[in-house]
Amino acid sequence: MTQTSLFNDDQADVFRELINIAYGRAAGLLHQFTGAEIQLHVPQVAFFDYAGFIADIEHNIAPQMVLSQQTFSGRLAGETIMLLSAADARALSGLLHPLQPLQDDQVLSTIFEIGNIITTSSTQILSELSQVPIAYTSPVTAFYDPPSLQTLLAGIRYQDVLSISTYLDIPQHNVFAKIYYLFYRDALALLANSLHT
Amino acid sequence: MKRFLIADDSKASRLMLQALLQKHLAEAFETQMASNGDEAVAAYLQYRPDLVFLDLTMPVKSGMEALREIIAADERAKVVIITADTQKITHDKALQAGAIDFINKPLQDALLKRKLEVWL
Repeated sequence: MTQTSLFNDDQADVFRELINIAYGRAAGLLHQFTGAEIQLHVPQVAFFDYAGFIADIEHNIAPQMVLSQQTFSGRLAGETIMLLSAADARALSGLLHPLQPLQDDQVLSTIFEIGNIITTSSTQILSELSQVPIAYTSPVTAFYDPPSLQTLLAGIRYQDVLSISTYLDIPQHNVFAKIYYLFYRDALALLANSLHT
Repeated sequence: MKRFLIADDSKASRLMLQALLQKHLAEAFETQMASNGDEAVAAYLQYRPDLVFLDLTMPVKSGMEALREIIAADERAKVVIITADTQKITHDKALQAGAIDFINKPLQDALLKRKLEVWL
């Protein structure tokens, strides 16, 4: 993992608090939709180069994974990545479809929707705080085994990226997913000035 | 002189709330700061503030645990939850645990001004 000094401790504190606020908004919506209580965690802030980011992703690899990725653009450009094991994805999807065993495509479509809710609801508050519009692409959601995930990661070519990560943690239903909010370098100054009276 | 305890792991949020208190309160006041739940409980027991502003998502000890310990030590403690957590179940648990109010981040200036008149 590589971290640089592109931001100081006070700015890291602001980044952490922004995602705390942003993800807190998403957690409220997910709680409404699923009825499940979501345990919030203190977000982790890091500045990764490509190798550092890949190493962090690989640290969370399970035999079969679901990854949902969504890009947002504008002056506050970046992407969100939700990474969870296939078992966690099925458990999470089951919260919205409790009466039936789910096929793989149903799991993917449910994770697609949940990823979309997390991205749009949380970045909406960032858009309000920074007073810049954000546009979204549709999420890309798929199952991956370790080789196919390696192939996907090999296609990612971040020069460097601000990573603020947290967890979608629903202890009562054994759901645990890592969520990355990735921001490109140009967004740093805008983010750092977004939290003020 | 009123005494406040601001417990939040975010320095930016602590300073923002302190600035808003200075903006809205005409009288002088004292502020103690805590950056996790453990520090919040210790600061409460030492300083016995008139009002506690307590974040929930904090390291070492969560705000909910700190709230329960503060209320167990002093059932008349006035604790306001200020949190990013927008889940209704969290709101309900905090009020059941003894918080007098619950507001969501980001702090809204006008809302805080109105609420201060109720809390103090």
